[in-house]
Amino acid sequence: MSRSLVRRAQPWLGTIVAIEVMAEGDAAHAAPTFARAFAAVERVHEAMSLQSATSDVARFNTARNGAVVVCDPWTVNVLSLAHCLQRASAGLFDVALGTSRNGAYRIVDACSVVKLGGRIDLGGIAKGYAVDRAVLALRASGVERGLVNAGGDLRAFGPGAWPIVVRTGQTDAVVQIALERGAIATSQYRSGRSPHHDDALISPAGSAVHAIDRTITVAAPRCALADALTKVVALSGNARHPMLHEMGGLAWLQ
Amino acid sequence: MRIEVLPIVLGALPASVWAVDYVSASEAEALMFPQADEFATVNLRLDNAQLQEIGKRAGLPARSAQWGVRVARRASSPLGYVVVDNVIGKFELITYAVAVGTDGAIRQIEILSYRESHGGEVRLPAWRKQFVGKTSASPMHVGDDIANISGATLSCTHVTDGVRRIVAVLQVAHESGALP
Repeated sequence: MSRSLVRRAQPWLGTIVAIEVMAEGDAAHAAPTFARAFAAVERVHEAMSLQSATSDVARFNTARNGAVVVCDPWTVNVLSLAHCLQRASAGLFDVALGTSRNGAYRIVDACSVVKLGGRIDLGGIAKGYAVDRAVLALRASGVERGLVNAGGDLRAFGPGAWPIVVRTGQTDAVVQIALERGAIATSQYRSGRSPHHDDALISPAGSAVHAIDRTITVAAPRCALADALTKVVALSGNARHPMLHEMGGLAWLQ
Repeated sequence: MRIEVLPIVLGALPASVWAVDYVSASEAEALMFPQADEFATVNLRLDNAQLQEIGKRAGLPARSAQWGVRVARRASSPLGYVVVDNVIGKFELITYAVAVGTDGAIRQIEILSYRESHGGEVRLPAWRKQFVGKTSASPMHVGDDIANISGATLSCTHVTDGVRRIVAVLQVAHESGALP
């Protein structure tokens, strides 16, 4: 059988998640592979959605301070990574969005955390994590080359470069990039948006930053890192922030 | 990780449309009801009272009185329905299929195709300079693959609204006996 790119896309995480793999045969033949990758995305969606009342995030936010919140181990993974990123960025990256000065949570074990206070929003990292999980699922299914794109947060794996178009907010200008074995995330922040809007940038103090009017693109080895680092670059205004170097990332501000 | 900004020849991309086709409607229904041995089309004609009821249940206008529903069957007994629909956003047109079981529960949603129109200006940004010395020495070749887009997050709100409408259409049609 000849190998070709097979594509599927489904709505998850408030966006469209597209997966392309180099596979033998047609869509039906590759169905079990896609099913495992989309199941990984669905698991992240169920655990980390801010909207769903039964998600780990929603249960954390409604729990009282001091309560132990039992979570999907993947949520604990993300909270653990978020904690590292918060420390490394001196608080610029903050999933509590400034609602808990001394940390919103403490990790107890692989499937539970203690709530210290505040509220969490994993919107700045969960999509990237879902992409990484889908990539792991595809590799575990024997896929050698592929790309997962969750509404613009994407990661390519395997040999060979992929063409990526980075769309910028202010104009219709686009930039084409070649990417091999790595992730790219782009965030746009426009002035005048309300703090509740997706585009608003929340500072560690918890207030929306309105003055920024830029597009930030970060490339990193993993998509969760690329996703999270866009916030660090946006808040620091520094496309050469030392964290990027530490984590193998590159950033562009427009 | 290897990365490089590609020097695009100005004018090479005129005002254009990105179009990605994922699966065809017939591939989608076979993926969503793999156990089905037959698909048949039922054309629904909804009356005004039904349209109002759909609007009430979905919380948004029924939009159309005519809907084509594919009924999936196995050994003549119905398994569920597949409806293909289009939603139009600010810049994009999305064709999707939703599979609903005879119990009214959503089984799966598949995007069939995605089209996005955009302006044609392509420029080499200042940040290309930032790449100097950071990228691989050998030029990277991307071939003719369709480009993936990284940019402002695409919202699937229109799709989720559309799915809600279709679920209401199927419920009302099922209750009236128009669907098995």
